[in-house]
Amino acid sequence: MSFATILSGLRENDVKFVVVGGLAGTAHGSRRVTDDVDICYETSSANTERLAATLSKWNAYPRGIEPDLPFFMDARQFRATPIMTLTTREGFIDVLDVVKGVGGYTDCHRRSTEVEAFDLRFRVLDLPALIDAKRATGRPKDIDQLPELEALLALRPA
Amino acid sequence: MTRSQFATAVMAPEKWVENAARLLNRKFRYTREESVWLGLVRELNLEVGLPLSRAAEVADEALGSVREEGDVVVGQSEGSSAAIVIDMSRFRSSHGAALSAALTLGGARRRGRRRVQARRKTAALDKASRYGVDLDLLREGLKLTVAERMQRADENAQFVRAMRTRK
Repeated sequence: MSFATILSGLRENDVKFVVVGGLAGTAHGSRRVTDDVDICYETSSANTERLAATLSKWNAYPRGIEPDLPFFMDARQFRATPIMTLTTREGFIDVLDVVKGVGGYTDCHRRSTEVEAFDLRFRVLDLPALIDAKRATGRPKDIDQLPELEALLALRPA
Repeated sequence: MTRSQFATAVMAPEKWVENAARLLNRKFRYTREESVWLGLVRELNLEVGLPLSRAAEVADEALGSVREEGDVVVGQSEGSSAAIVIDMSRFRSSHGAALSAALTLGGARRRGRRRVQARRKTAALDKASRYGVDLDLLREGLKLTVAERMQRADENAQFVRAMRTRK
């Protein structure tokens, strides 16, 4: 159960995704502790099938609701609820089709940068896009993180 | 739940929730049970094309049915030649995922003036410092590689998870 196993699992199953949210902030130097992986996924049916299959293998289930309710982790579920906050045997993962303030996968991909960690290469939302996303969401915990992210942007070499 | 969380759980825009409340003459308290009911009303209104008032009746019938899972047959015509079949398990699955997202991610941003963005580097650093961000700590962190930062974050997350599951 770790970020490494989630990210490597997604890569092994050829899921197209961009890491967004707290872990993207970590990549850019944020000191905030995060315990989930947020991804924006490509919404083609093939990619959604691969993502659903991967999450199904990990026994994904909606986070924060009582257990044992009917839940189908398949491509049809993604059509009904394209944004899901899930708990899995590998850890917490939030899957989003659109990131507020940035857009869908294509926009996220365009505004992302490739990083290397856990012996993997994957894309994370770039810092200005992450700031736009946090600002657009407008939740207190995201607004609270803006001064740190803006400071990181200012500290970045020109 | 807040109104925006409720709308997320119902899988509808907030405006739709407001309008539905008015048309159905209901005052919602934004409870979980209401989100199940209104979510089903919306599905029947949007996907099946039932008028809102009829969708509400059918939703009452479906949720009052003895069967809480599997196919539920509701809204039968007088001659029983036509009816609506609702896959309740599938509906519960979608609603559960939407409710989870509503509770975990919260609702949309509140209205109001946006905060002024720091335009200059020094202004951003001053603002962060005043806000309580330890700039020295940030500078130290930036000396690490991305891989080192991610590795450290993973270790921290595992510690948090272990603390959470500890009895």
